[in-house]
Parts: sequence; structure tokens; C-alpha cells
Amino acid sequence: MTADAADVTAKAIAVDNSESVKKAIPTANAVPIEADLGDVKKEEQATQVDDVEKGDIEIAVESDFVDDVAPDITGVSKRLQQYSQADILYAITGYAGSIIVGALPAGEAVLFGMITGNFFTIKDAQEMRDTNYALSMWFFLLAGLSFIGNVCMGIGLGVSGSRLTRRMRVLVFDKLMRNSMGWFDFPEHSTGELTTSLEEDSETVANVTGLSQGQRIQVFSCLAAGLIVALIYSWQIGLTAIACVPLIIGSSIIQAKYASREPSTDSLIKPATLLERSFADIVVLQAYGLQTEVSLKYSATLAPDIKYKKKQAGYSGLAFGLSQFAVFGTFSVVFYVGIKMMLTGQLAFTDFFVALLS
Amino acid sequence: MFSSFGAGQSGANFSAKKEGLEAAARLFALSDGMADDDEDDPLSEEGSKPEIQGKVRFKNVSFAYPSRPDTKIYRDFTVDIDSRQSVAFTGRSGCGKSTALQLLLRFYRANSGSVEVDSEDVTNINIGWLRDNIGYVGQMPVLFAGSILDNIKVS
Repeated sequence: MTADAADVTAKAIAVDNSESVKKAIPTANAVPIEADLGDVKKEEQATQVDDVEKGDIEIAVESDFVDDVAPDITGVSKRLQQYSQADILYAITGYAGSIIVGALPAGEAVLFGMITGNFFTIKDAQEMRDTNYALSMWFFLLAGLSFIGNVCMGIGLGVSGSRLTRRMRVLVFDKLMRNSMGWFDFPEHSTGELTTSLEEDSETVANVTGLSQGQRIQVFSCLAAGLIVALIYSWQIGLTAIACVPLIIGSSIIQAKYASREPSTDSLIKPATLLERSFADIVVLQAYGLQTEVSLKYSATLAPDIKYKKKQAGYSGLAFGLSQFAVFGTFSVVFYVGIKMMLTGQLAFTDFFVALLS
Repeated sequence: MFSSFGAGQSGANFSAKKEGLEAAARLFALSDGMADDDEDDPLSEEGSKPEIQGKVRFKNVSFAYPSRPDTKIYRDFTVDIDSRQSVAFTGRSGCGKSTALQLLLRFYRANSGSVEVDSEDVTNINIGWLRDNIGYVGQMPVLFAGSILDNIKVS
């Protein structure tokens, strides 16, 4: 603790003693504001205030941030499943919708490929018109399926996700209120921390079962339907495309692996705690003109987050680039193989086109 | 080709599931922090429910707040207060005036010694019952939303 911080503590306690700022919790018990002000030195502040307001500098943070150990998630899926058991029908409806929506592009590819193929393969104009007219009617079926699929997905997964969030919130809130007073005294259980956790984490939990899960199912359904159609129309093209799937999956894994690493620091308090303390003790803060110092400290608590976001952006950019590479690489290989096979007469144009498009 | 575009358009985020599971793990850790049979649980069914006369005794109590174990509030503190006796504690900040009430209400447990009501250790009395029998006006009085009558009914 620096001399400055100690000084501030003394002031804070002095005010606390006066009749004007009596608090329900005893002073000995209260987390002193000293913890919030930390070690940002006065001389640094003088030069940094302007820069911070412009938002373009980093404040030297006393501790290096280390990669946090991710929380243990074994067994969590099972418990979540239990909690979402009640909405299983909604979830099933949603997942069915996702599968339908995911399979649509493959159906679209079949129709599109056949219609386009007909332009080249059917010589008689009337026959071409009749065949393609009949084929184009099938798009109404796709439109209907798309409508039904999306409605099922939206309602089913929206409801099951939000209900899980609500259940988690109530469950945790219920338990928290029953904790002993001593538990709430610890800074990591401050109002700010608990509120943030209850709000943000509960919301994020919906990612496991809600719309987010539906989108992942949609991707699998999409790729599976595409590959099946490709295999039906040309097994060689289908197999070539399958060979490229590991690349696409690999890039997703890289993205997922680095996504959840959050920064942690040993000595810095979290932004939520600082905000909560500041607003709770706003009288002290204003009476002693600590706004600038506290605001600097707040900026400092946000700094590791910025570092984390930068790193995060790097990884997701890399993963996205890789997946794009995988997709375009697949196209080039499929085109190469397909054209070779067409030249040797092993593959008809329409079949190639449908397989390629799917 | 269409399928890969479709997959791209779905906006699926494969890291979201892991994030969701980790968030759930944090929430479970938070809610599991307290066991269901915790005897300091204010809703606990444990403990006796005696008729309370109001004799209070602090017997050789030592206490420090759990978050600041090095700052001892009481060392061997003993006091006897009779039923219907009015007592005022005075002293400088941090000397343990409010702490006495917090120990009596069992917001905290004494590290050693005992806090007794009618010669019964408060840790043996049902926590909800004990608190129901004590009128507590904090340093910052709280008025709940509603009428004055509603507020009186709460206590």
C-alpha cells in the first residue's frame, strides 16, 4: 500500500465515524476504499489523466496478467440437462427446426443445379421450359420448409434458452441470499461481482441450449445434407469434399479453444467491484474529490480486458481465416477433380454441377 | 457450395457452448459454496425454539471478522445483560459496538467463547426463531416500499 492510499483510508474512516455517513455494516467490517485506489501513483496520474480521457493510453498495471485456469466444466453439462429437462419439448422442436433450416441449402443446390444443367443439356426449347417450370415450383416447398423451420427454431430454442437462464438466476439468487454475512464480506462476493455474475453468466448459460446451440446444429445439418447430396450425385466429388471437412472442423476447434480464456490479475480488483464501491460510497468520493483517482483506477481495471480482447481478436481472425481457406481450398480441389472427370467422360455435367453446388 | 455458404450464414459460434458451460460452472460454484445443511443458513430447520425472556450473556468471547482475521475485535469479552435491562455500548469506531449485536443475531459466529440468550448458546437456537425474537434497528433504517403498516408487519 502506498502512503497515498493509506491517507485515503484514514479519511474514509474519519468520515465514516461522523453521524452523516453511518453505515449499516460496522467500519471494521467494511472493505475500505483503500483497496479500490490501489497503487496508481500520483506523479503518473498527473501525466496520464488527459491521455486516459482521450482513451488512447495504457496505464501501467502492477501485476502481469496471467492466463486464467478455465473453470472445471465436467459434470456441468449433466446438471444443465437436468435443469432444462422441463423444456425438452421446446428444445426438440427447436432442434428439429435447426435441422430443417440446415438442410435447405442442399435442397436449393439440387434445384439450382438441375435447372442450370437443363439449360445446357436439353436441346428442345419447349421441353426445357416445361421441365424447368416444374422444377421451379419446388422452390415453394423450400420456402414453406424454411418458414416452418425458422419459426420452430426461434420459438423452441428462444423459449428453452430463456427459461434455463431464468431458472439459473433464481437458483443462484436463492442460494446466495442464504449465505452467512461473513461470506458477503469478502471482496470477491461484493454486490457488484454478484450482480454481474448473476446477469452475465446466467445469460451466457443460454448458449448451451438456446439459439446458439440451434445454430451449431444447423451447421452440422447443413454440412451433412450437402455431403449426402454430393455423394448421391457424384461420390467422387462427395469424397473430395469430405476430405476437406477436417480442415473446417479444425479451424472451429482452434477458435473454441482460445475463446474462453479470460484475463486474471492477482492484485487488481474487478471493474464491477470498483463501480459498486464507488457508488455505494459516493458521499465519501465526492466529499474528498476522489473522482479522478477512482476513474483512473477504473480505467486500470479495464486494461487487462483490452489486452484480452486484442489477443482474442487475433485468435478468432486466425481461425476465421483458416476456415475460409478450408472452404475455398475445397472449391478449388472439387473443381479440379470434377473438370478432370468430365473431360474423361466419367461425370455428367448436371451431376457435377449439383454435387458442386451442394 | 450452397451448404458451406449456409453454414457460414448461420452465425454459429462454436466457442459459445464452451463459454456457456464455463458460465454455468461459475454459477454452480457460487451456489454450491454453501451446503444445503449449513447450520448458518437462515432458513435452517435445525436448533431449539425456546421461549425467550431476553437475558443476554457474552462469555469469554473472542472474535475477528472472517474477511479480516488479523483484526481482533474481541479478546475474552464478557458481559451480562439482564432481561428488560437497557444497556448502551459506547466507544470509538471499530471497538465492537455493532459487532455485539451481529454476534447476538448470529450473523457471525464467535471464534471462541459463547454468546448466550437465557443461558442457551445462540448457536443451539434455531436461527430464524432467534432473529424473529429480536427487534433490530440498524444504523441505516430501511423503509420497504409500501405503507407504514406494511413496514411494521415485516418486523
